[in-house]
Amino acid sequence: MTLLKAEQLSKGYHQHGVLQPVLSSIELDLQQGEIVLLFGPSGEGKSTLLHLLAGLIRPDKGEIWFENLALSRASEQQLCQLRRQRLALVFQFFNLIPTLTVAENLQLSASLAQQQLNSHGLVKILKQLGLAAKAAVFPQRLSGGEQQRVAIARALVTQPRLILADEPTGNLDRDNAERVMTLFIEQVRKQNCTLLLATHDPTLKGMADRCLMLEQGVLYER
Amino acid sequence: MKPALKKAQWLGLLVVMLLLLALIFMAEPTAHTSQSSQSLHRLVNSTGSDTQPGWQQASVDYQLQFPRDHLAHNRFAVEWWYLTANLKAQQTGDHFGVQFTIFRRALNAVQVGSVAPDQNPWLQPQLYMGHLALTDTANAQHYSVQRFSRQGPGLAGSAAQPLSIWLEDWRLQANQPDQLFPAQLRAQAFRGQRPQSFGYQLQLTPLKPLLLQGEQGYSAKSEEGGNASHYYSATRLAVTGQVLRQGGWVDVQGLAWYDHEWTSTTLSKNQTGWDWFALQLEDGRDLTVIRVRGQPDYWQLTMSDQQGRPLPVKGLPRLQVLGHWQSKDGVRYPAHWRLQLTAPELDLEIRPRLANQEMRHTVRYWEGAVTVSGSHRGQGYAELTGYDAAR
Amino acid sequence: MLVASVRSLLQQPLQLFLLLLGMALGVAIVAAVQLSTASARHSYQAAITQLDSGATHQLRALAGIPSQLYVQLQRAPQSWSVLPVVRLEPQFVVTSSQGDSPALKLQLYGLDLLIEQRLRPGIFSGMVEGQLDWSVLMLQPSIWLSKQVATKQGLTIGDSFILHTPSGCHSVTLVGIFDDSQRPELAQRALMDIGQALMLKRETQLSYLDMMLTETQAEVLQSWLIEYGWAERVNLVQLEQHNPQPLGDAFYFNLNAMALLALLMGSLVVYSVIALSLQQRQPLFATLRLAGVSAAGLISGLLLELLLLSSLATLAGIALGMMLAHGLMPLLVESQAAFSVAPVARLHLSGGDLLRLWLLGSGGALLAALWPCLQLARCSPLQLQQPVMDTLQPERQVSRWRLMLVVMLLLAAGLLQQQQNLWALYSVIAALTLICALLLAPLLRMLALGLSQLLRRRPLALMVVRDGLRQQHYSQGMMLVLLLSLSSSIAISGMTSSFHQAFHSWLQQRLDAAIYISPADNHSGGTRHLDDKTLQALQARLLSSPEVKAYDLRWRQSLWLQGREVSLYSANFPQAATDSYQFIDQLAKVDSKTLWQQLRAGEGVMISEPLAWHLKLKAGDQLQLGPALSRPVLAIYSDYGSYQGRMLVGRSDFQRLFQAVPPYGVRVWLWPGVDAQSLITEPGWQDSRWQLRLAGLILQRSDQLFEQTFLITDALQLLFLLVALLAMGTNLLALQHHRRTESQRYRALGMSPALRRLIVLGQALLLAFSAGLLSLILGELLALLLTEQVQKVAFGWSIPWQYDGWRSLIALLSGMVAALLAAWLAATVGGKS
Repeated sequence: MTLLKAEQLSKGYHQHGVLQPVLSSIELDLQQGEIVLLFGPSGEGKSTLLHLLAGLIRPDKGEIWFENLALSRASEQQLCQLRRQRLALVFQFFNLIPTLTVAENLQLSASLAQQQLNSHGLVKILKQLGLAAKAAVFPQRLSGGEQQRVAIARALVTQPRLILADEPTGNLDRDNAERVMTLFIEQVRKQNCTLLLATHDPTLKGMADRCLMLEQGVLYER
Repeated sequence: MKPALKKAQWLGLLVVMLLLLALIFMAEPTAHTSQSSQSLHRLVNSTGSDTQPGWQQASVDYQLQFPRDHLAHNRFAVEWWYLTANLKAQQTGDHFGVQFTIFRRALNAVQVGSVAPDQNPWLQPQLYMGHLALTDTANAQHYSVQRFSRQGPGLAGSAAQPLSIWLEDWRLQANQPDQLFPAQLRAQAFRGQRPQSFGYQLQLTPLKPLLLQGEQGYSAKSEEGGNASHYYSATRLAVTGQVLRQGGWVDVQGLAWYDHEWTSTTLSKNQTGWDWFALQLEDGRDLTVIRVRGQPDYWQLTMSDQQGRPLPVKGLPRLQVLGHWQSKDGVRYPAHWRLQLTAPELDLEIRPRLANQEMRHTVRYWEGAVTVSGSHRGQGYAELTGYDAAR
Repeated sequence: MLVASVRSLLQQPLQLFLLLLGMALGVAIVAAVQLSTASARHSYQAAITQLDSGATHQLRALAGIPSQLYVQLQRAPQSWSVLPVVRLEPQFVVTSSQGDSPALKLQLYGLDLLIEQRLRPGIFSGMVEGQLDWSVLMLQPSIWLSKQVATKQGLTIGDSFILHTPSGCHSVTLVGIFDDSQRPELAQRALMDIGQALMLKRETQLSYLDMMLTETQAEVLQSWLIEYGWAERVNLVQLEQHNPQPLGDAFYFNLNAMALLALLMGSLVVYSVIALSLQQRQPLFATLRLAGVSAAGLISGLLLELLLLSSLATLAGIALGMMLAHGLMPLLVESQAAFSVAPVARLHLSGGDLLRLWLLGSGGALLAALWPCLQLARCSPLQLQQPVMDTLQPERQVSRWRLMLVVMLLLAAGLLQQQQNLWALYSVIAALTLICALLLAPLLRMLALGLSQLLRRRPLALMVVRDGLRQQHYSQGMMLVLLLSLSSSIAISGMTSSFHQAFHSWLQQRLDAAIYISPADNHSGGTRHLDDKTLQALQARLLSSPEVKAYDLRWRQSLWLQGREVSLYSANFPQAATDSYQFIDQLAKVDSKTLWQQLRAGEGVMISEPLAWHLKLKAGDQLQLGPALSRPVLAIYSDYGSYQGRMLVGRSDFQRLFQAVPPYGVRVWLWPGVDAQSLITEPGWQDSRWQLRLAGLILQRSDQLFEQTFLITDALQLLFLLVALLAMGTNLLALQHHRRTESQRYRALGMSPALRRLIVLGQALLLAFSAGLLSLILGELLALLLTEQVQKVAFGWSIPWQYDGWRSLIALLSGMVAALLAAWLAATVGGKS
């Protein structure tokens, strides 16, 4: 089942009064449950594409449908609702709420999604990501890998339909990255989430269902 | 332009801008201090050739009487009490020339006498001007100071009991009633111990009786008349006392000359000023020579013998100017003379002890100690007026 | 480096604008207060004090200085400079033509212009028209006026007009006009020759003698006065001690303190904006450092950038300050006018003022920015490359050096307190404020921790509560601003309302008579006393009125006591007149009736509390009132009517001192049930020679006066709150900017704009509440100090501090509303950007 569809998606940024195109007529289909990797050189627009798909920015041209919701015509309220319940984001720089503990970060996502997260559920997910002992710890006391795992846990706790991840292991060392990605993919599969993962790491190809390449504003399957 | 230079340029501009702003606000309005001096100058000098109705005029019939005529004559426009002296320091022999003058100027002829003294003494219409000068010949210095005061309730003026003439704390006071001399003279330029202050405390003892100048004290000053004065002198006074010079008092002694003159018009229309000499010869004779410069010049000569009796002087003198002194701003004074008289026979060379003895105040004139040599030796004082107008 | 940095700053125009605005506003308020108070004070001094520029001393005597003394002084050989002055009471000037120009109060000075020229020649500078003709000046009634007055009255040189004086009407001729734009003290002066002035005054006595004396010369003069028998008849006073102003140093100190607080808040704005700006430009600085720019070079470049910006902002602030000062001046002048001849309201700005304000503005900005710059410079180039970590900064313990500073300050304040002077008190105030400022962070942390426990199941609420503990320089900046503004507002309101209450109730008690009668304040210059004929007529009226229960004549004169000018009052003091006096100290433990009997019998005097304070007197001390007249202090009474000091004496003593001084007023008591208002409308009561005032109207007028006096502080408080609002908004905006990336994060998590705004508002509310709580405590403490201590030290009277719960509540609520408003603005503007 098609979860997300993007048609003729174009986006550019103004620089010194001139419009610099970043994405040109992107076509994308994401199916429920598939894990898709997005490759491309730095600065080519991977993050821009993810932000468009998350409804954080609006395209210059084209349309994105998430299930039946046309993102460019959706209100801010609808988009918020989408991001609370059906879509989750994982960023390169963790982006945890620094004033909340690990457990509270997860509880925040759950409460925004109007879902109950009892302590049992909380412990379970933390255990799954190897963070059971860190529930009451604030993010700045965690290592990079731990923080990213918390970010992943936060994304998973609401059981979204789609997770958009923008180089989640970009800030981690090789070993950590491998560990985190293994856990991440494992959980995604368990929840039957769709995952679109922007990455530079070719070793992840084996874990994905599809690989896409974004180069010079054009998206094609690799 | 290089970025660094451009930066410096902007910084500089900013600093200049701020400085300009500060300067604008710091600018003070120009002072009008000269206004008051001009007014006084006009006032003091306005008895040139204008004769206002209402003033009393000198009269040949007027009999001078003393001590009455030692006092101020308020119905006359102008009056002065003048003391000059040539003194020597007792210890070092240094020469000092001393000038003590109190001028009186009545403000308004009509008003004179209209305000009774007991009504409001502050409104007595008499302006007093004092000049003090000291010539320190050894150090080639000439000091002078000016002071003004109204007559007021006793701020300046003259009084009979005790017989005195004063301007604030400058005072000439007789030791005895009814006679002006012997007298004490006390005056100090600035109160307190300021380094630039000078002054004197002198005891004056008469060596001769008073001499009436001109015709029994009537000094015509011109052929056509109209600017006559009453004038008498004490031509030879022995002086002892102290002179204040550069913060220190010096014991001195010497001879002084005292003049008292009053008039309502000092110069007639075609007169520009006068040269006046008061000479004390070593043989005991005293000579007054006045040349009122005009078209023609007017001469007045008076001589007294060793006892103070008037001596006749016949013929006109010959006064040759042998040298000049010029002030920095170009006023040229004669500064060396040859005076020749036929009867009595005198051939005198008169030189100032110090070239610059100019009095530069509201009234500008040269007044200084002179030496006399030639056929007779002596000393004296010379006064030269009207030379600043000729500049 | 400078160019790169400035360009980067220019890319954040909002920040740049806030930076400039914060500085400009802080400087503007300081400039406004300084300029207006200095100018008003200048004007007031000019109006009420003598024309004494350059004079160090004055010789004064009760009945004036005899001319004879002046002449003696001038003829004495000793070294002193003496100038005679005749001063006439303020006169009304009416033009001679139609009399349709407004009447004007002037102060007429008669001077000996020859002496003035010698000793005080500056008096003649600035004459723009007319001539200094001595003969005219001395011989004719001629007058000099200021340009302002001449223009106002439509007078030109040569015009004659009528001068109304106590001795009658006189025609005078205008002969000179002064440019008073640079000489404000001349604005409402008229100058005449001293002889002419004496003629107008119909006196021969001089008002006083101005003298220029060194200490040694003053001693010599004292000896001379004794030697020549003048010492008991005249007083030699040093001038700086004897120019009392009803709005004295304490008042101006308060105003300037408020202004400096405003500058401090402006600096806080600068601090927060600079800190944010530096963080945002961190990558640029990293690049510069990596390129080889040293830390010192970085700091100096940044400070130079700030110097340029602050100079610009300061100039704008000064311009704005001048505009504000124009607005404040009338308020100040109105305050002063309540007490005296209305001084001229003219702004007085010199180059020195300009330079000082520039130093203040730029210096303050540089100081505020120094810490963030130093912090930045301490980072290595690599550290600068790291993104700014959002950390939950745990509250550090108050560092030892801060504690030491506070302890030392308290100790110093405590020691100074022994001397009981204003500086000591303000040190205590500063110490208390500093302590409270240091307690802000711990208090917030406590509140946050407590609330965290209560809200542990609500992560959104937890975010609100805990976010205040991050970026403490912003949150504390905001709290500090709120603390300063709220506490000072509470303190000043507390002081003024306590004073008002005390003064009002005192006056109510003291106005025990129904009618107060004084000489008519008519345009003939007004006499200050009731002459014999007027008194006879008045007494006849009072005696023939059955409604009148009692009346009491009052006498008043000035007396010099231990170098202080004191108002001496005398009356018969009937029973009705004495009940309203409250004694705070008395010689013997007797009832007040006995005390008053002793006063009437001439066995002693009573003095007011301010007088006792200033001269360190207590009941029982002997006072030398005049030659061979010494009396003990029977009692000290409470009095708010004059901070200079008052004294009551019996009739016999008063007559010994002042012989035939006529009374200045009458107090009338009516029988119960008599309506004073309708009584005075009956025939015979109204007379052009006297004026009647009812107690109620006096009370009303005093309330008006009171409000007038404190108009300026009300205006300043408003300005103050405006700067506080700006400072809070700036801090919050800086916070918003700092957390902009977080905002994206919250969006990514699905938080709506409304929710995000709510978080900001919640944070602001919590910060405001914390600061507000401390402000209440601090504010009331300060109010207590200001009311009971500062008032005492500054004026000498005791005022009980009155607590008003509503005041505190309103202050707290207004602080929270202001914080919410600031937060809403920050969220809106920050959100849009």
